[in-house]
Amino acid sequence: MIKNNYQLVVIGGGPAGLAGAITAYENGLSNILIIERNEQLGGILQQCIHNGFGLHLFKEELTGPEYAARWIQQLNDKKITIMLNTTVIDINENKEMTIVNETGLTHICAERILLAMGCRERTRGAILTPGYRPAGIFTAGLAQKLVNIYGYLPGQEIVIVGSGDIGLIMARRLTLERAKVKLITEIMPYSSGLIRNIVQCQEDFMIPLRYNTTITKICGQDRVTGVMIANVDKDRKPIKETEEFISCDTVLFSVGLIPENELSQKIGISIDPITKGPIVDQNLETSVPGIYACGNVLHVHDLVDNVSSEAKRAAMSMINKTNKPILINVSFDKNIRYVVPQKLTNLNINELILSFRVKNVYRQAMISVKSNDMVIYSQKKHIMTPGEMIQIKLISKQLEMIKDDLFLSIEVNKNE
Amino acid sequence: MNKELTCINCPIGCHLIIELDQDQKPIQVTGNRCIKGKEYAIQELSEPKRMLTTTMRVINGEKPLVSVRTSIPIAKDLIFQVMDIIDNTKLKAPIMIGDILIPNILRSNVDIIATSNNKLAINHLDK
Amino acid sequence: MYDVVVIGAGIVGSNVAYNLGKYRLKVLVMEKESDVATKTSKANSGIIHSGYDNKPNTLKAKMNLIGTQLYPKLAKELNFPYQKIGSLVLAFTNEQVKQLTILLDQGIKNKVTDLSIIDKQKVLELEPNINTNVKKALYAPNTAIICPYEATLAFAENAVLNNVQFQFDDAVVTIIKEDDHFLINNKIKCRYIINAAGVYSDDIAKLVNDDRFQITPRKGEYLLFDRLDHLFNHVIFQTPTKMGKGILITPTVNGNTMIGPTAVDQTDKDDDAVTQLGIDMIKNSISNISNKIETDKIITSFSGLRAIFKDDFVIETSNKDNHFINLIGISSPGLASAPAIGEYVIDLLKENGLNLQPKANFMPYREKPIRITELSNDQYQKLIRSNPLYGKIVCRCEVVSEQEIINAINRPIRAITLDGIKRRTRAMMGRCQGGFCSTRIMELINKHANIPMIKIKKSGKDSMILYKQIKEDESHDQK
Repeated sequence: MIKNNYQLVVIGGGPAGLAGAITAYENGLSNILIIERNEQLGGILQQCIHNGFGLHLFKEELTGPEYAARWIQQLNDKKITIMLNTTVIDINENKEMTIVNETGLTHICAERILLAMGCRERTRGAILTPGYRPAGIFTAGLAQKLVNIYGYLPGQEIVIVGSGDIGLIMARRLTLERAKVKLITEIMPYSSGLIRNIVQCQEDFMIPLRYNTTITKICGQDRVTGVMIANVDKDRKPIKETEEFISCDTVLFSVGLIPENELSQKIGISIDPITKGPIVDQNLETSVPGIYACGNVLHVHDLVDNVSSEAKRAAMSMINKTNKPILINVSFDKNIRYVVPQKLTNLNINELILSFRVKNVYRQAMISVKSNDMVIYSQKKHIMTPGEMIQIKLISKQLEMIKDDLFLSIEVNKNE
Repeated sequence: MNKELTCINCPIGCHLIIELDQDQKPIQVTGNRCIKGKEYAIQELSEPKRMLTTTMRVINGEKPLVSVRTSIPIAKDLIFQVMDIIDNTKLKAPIMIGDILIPNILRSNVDIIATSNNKLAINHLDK
Repeated sequence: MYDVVVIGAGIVGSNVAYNLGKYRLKVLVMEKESDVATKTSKANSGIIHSGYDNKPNTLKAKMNLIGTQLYPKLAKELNFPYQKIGSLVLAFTNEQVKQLTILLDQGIKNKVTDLSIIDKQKVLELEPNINTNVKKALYAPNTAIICPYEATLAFAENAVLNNVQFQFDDAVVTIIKEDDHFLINNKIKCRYIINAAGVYSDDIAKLVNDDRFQITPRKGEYLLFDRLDHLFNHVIFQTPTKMGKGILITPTVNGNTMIGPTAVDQTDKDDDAVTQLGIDMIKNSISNISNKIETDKIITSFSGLRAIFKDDFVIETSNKDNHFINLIGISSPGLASAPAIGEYVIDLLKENGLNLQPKANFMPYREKPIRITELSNDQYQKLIRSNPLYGKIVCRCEVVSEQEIINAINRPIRAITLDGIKRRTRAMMGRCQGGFCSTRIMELINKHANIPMIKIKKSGKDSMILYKQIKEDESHDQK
């Protein structure tokens, strides 16, 4: 088998992988390989033809393909090896891997690995929606690919389960293509999508959206003929008496994204049970030295700009890494779902970005970061929702105050 | 009289409160964090506009479609009329990102532009 | 004129077809669905039971014992996965321990060998992830697992190689007796009929005025877990109750963990919907057995109907016509018994006057489909050199290459639906359930089976996946 050595192997050529590889190249690494499973770079961005990307990084509003093109363009003058239609089939903690494509198997040794595999959609099967298994059941992302890449409409009358961003965007997209979106159901009392998507995707097109509602059965033997829906109680369990039938020929599921960490698990990297992504330190380095993670494989992001920024940080830190072994754990209170990074191994850094998500909607609440009972950071937020990834930045002055484990909390305003 | 809107310019989604006079004309906008919020509020009350993103059919391309958008936001009321024109227009490959595909659609001063590339299909190059 | 028509292409019908393929006969299998093994034979536990739980001196006891002995050789010749992993029946109470001895005695009466009752320490040695309050277990080392639809496919494909014909999407609705032959659906003539129609076998019998049977469809629901955690090594049963063997845990031949089935009798033969009640029932029963199972590793749920008629199999010549053979009520241990039933049907046909001339050129084997995941690196490298499409991965979760999909489309029984491809290659069966690769697979069906995109089906007759092409005149849809 052919053997190749690289200074850096980036697994995944989506927004995270592209930004990671380019930043690493610009900062001195020269022998870089990007491995991409698909026939083109850009990942899921290529099917996200809607606008809203790049406001932070490019200061303009781009569509997904345009955002991807901005990064792919930057590869032109750089000697970065790209392998398309290539899959990693084996990988270990010594950073050796076997990859396969139409030319055969290749053995690769990497000095560093950047994990940038992205995420996948949670399916109807995973959330155990009862009922039949006919044609006409799609994840929202699959429907997006069918419409935007292949040019096919999956159905005429559609019910969308989940009001996350992909669900909302597909509601608008299918309406524009003259399908009838009969209903969006949301099991929670609020949408996990961005507010702007509620306005411009759902409200603009007067698409019915029902909160505290779930589907209790998919009907139809060959093709979907409808769904049973019901209100849910406080424990999110359907209330039988409220069940009603909605006829439709298609059901789209937009019920969450899961980081794709099968390779990480093969390596033996420690995984955070909440994020389902690797546990990382301030360098975004995983439990296996020399292996870094960024983007949706680390934790699911709401904005692609944040994915690219995180990838840049991962690339920078793998180059500037200094070792001064300490261990500070990052913990958090009951209002917070997770925080990335989960641990700090070095405080000799210029800044530290903490990314996290909250469990509920909080208005006028205070984010505070404590170390050894001393408040080192606090910020009042107008609104925080579970759908939004929140980031705070600690600067060196604040980092100097870290004496012990960090504790992040949301202090809820009692008057609200 | 006040009217409330959610700004859609960026993911923050500011909650805008617009104070109106007796003729329903805006007097003051609050709740916005940037100038775009104010502009949006005033525009939304007179003539709501939206960016339209969709796809168009491509003949002889390596892919069946090309993704497109309006060059600037277009009047919300025109969206389905614009879709009709877009859906009935077939393009010829090659198409490059940024190409103007339909200029000044419905005399709105808005162009339809390509947001991705679509090269000529290889089997068409042979001929 | 056919010599024999087999109605139903499940595990039983396919075994009958396989056995008929050994003789110089003109044989047709008629199936109302689009593929083999689409109903009961695809949605069951996949277990080749050792045979201790059948009532002695029943057809079930007899067929199970013979079938279990036939499987290893058949699996080798027809190249389908068969793993003898053994089974445990767990007892957590003294009452259940008593039951184990009853099962052991019954097993001995049924001539099942190598059964033993093992103590707690040994149980936990064999299965470290089950709850430690287990007292004893009945250990049956001969219990095996197979993939029920791959096995069905193997029997059916071998039958095709031996000139048995299959006709899909053709439900039998009328059977008329004309002189010495039957006329099926006013178009197909045959001398003998084998009724292997599963839950519909009573309806088929009624077509020849044999109305002695009333099938009760018994729904069994299952949860399927991801392959990542290998929690159990054996088939794990709870102590049986009146409703049957109860909810069990089993590894599948592909390394997933499967838990089920429930057992709910119903009247509707088409209702194989998964229910919230069933899901909850399975989840609840898991905790009795092991607390190591994480329900967030569930990939999907599914259910199937078992054909229940009284307590035993019916394998007999119809009392209305001795050229009509009924295979009715083939519920558990039907999968284990199918090869024995197939042989028994040959005897019944002989008894009823069919002239059986062995084929000189009978082909006893079936080529194993190439699975790249089963190859060593060297073998795989060579394969890609011979055909680069084996290096093009289509399904990322289960690692299936483009050429494997093309092979499935071109096999003796063609896979031209998404479910057909899924069952033959495992593509779309993993954790993303086809989210990434089903469009690619549709393109391959379009190209290699020449089916327009909008006509590609998930499985059954009207299960088209797509509605229409956008921004295109309808006339262009057909390309």
